Amino acid sequence: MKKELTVRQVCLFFIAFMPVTKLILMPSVLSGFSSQDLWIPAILTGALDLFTMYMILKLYKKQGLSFFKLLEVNFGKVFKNIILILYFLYFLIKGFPLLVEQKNYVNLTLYETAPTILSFLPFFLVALLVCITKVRTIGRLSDLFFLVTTLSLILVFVLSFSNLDFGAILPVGVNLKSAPLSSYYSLGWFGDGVYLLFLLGSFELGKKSRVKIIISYLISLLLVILFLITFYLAFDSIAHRTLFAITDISKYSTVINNVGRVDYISVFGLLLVGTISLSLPMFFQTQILMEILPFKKRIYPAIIVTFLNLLLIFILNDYSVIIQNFIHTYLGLVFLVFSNLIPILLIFLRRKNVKS
Amino acid sequence: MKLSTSLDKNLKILKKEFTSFDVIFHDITLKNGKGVLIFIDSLTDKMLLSKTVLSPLSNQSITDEKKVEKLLLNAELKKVKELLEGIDTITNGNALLIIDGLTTAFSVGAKRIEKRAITEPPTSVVLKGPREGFVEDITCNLSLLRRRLKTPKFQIENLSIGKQSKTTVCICYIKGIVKKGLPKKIREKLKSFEIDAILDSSYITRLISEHSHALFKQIGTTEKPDVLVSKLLEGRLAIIVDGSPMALTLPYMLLEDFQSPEDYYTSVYKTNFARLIRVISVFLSLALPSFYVSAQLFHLQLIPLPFLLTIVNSIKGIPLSPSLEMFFTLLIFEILNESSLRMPKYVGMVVSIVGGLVLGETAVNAGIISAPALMIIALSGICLYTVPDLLQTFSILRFLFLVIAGTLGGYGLVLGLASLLIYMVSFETFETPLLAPFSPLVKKDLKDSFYKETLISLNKRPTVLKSKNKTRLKIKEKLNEKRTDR
Repeated sequence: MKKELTVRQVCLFFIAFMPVTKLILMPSVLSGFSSQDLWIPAILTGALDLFTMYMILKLYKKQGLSFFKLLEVNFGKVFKNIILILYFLYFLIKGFPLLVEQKNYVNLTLYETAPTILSFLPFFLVALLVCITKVRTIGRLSDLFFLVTTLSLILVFVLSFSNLDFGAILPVGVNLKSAPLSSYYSLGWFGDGVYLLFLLGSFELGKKSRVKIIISYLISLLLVILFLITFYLAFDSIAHRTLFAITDISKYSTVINNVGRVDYISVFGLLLVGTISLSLPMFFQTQILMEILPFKKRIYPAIIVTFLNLLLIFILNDYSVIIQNFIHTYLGLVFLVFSNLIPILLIFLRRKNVKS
Repeated sequence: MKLSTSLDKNLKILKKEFTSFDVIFHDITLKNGKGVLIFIDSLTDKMLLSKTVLSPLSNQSITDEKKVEKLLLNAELKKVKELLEGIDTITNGNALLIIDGLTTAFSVGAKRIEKRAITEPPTSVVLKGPREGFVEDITCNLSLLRRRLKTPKFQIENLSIGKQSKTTVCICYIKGIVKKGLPKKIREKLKSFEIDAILDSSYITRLISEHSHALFKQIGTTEKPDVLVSKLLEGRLAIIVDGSPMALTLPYMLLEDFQSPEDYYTSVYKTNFARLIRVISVFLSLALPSFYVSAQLFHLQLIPLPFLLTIVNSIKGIPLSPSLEMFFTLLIFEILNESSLRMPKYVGMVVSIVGGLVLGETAVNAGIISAPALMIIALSGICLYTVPDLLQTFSILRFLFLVIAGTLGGYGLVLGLASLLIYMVSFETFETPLLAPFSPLVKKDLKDSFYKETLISLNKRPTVLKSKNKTRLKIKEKLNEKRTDR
């Protein structure tokens, strides 16, 4: 039977959707801990994700099963459901700070005259649409959006180039001691291997597929690191105070004085991709609900998931920043366990013959 | 019901069926009996009938069917055993010959249908390339195709659809090139409908479309035989309907609308430039009004200062909000557009002048709308005409995006675009994705997408159409060693 995704789409999935969530608040947080060495913790966390992805791919080659099937075969239906419920909660926690980040970004930078939660609410309609779609649609969106992400970031780099102080990141390695702590704080933005875990079974591993997927994640990581370096080169000592980097990083370019804020092309481009990227935790929550509850149509779990996330944002609106900080500060271990530890440990499961 | 040997009995039934004044029952006197030639006056070539039927039969003695077949010099002569078949013969414009004493009647091909001359279709005018267009007569349209495809592999399947209209519908494809199973699927789907009449090919579009409320087209259309042939050669299937100059092609991809017939008759540089213009135009037509409104309402920082000052000066005293101003200007544009299409040609010109120039100028002078808003709507309107096939869909989308921009601003537009892309990406008809070859990405098919390569490079049929025979051009290497690609 033909799989829903091709390996190319899995590769482009990482290039398209992974960098965008790491560009809004993460640069400022990392520069607060590591100053000019902010790219080192990103490399550390990225390397952990790379290792996780490598192990997941190894697991897929060994078992050839989807994550759901793998859990069922090895632990039985009940335990499988318990693990999936935990992952459902994990995606809720993973998605929340990202949603808050995007909401604040949209309200504060795009709606200076009308800062209201209402401007962000329609996002959930798009999220619902994403949740209703199949994995195949996500793959096809990756085909389109990898170009948007790459071109938008290139535009940011090009526009900000003339204002960069290349000496700002030197000397390298001064803040190496803070790298592990900084890396721990960045876990909420990373942990992308978990998406690969949930995509298992949707694509077929061919010759060199594993290498291609790993390289694609490396490219996505490289884009993030380049952005982090550019960010610090642009803002230097005030980097940790610059919360919404994308909008400000290239606004001092001479081109902008002449033709207006062309950098907003990349802002809107990244927001477009970000819409799908932010909906991914909800998409996988819907997948989990479909797996553990006997829904006939995907629309019902999609509505439940979207409504739940919307409710969280709406109810916790006033405390959203506090909760966001709490999640990044105290729940790093949760991210580590669910995004990295569990996927890595799955490799120790014995191979069992399963009737497809 | 079988035909009877008694002429009177047969006539009694037929006269009961055909009470209309234009149905002629022409009596024929034979040496050994009598016969009747029945036909519809307005549909039949009487001269042909008199030459091929009446003259040869006069004063002949007819004893059996073979004698009739021997005497009649008609190429479309067919035996008719059933009364119902005889009725169909007459309604189709042919004549039915019944002879007393014979259980077999004869269908005589004498159809005469008034048709217009083959002209250049108004929907796809070209500077270079063939100018022939389809007409309403299906035989003529098929001959235009046959002239271009001199191969026995070119298949035409004939169907009659419509309880009252009995319209001839032809399914055309090239055996060995079309996707396996597609003709069967379409044939069965067409046969599954019992409809009163098929008055135009658009009826077929509605009948066989897979999604009843889709925003985008699901079946391609063309009025040009050269375009249709090229689509058949790519692996598509065509449907031609009698009475309609618009042929249908499927599977359909959005990209087709960006490809003009002229692209294949001019240089690749011109073609690529033209395609780039079309893509930009479509984007501008959709985004420009909504972007202008959202920038004015929510994101003033997006507008360069000198331009912002110009806008500020021109909107001074305008009583409407930017979104309402743009909405009403767009509405007036659509009204003018609709009325100029419906009105007689010469009145239409007057409407364009009065609407476009007088109304626009006066509205700006009176301070009801601003000059930039008028200019943006005019530009947006013109831009959309670079891809006329997308006109209807994008007109609706333009309104929708304008409303979103007016209420939610730039982020609303981003969300609107994301929703549109999700919809388009997941949209499939006849197992072919609407956005192919971009999503899913089919690298080989990108050669003839927004960028077109030379004819020599387009040696394979589009992969996404899953054609059985993939190669459409082979080059004998020795003779072409020194050939460069451009």
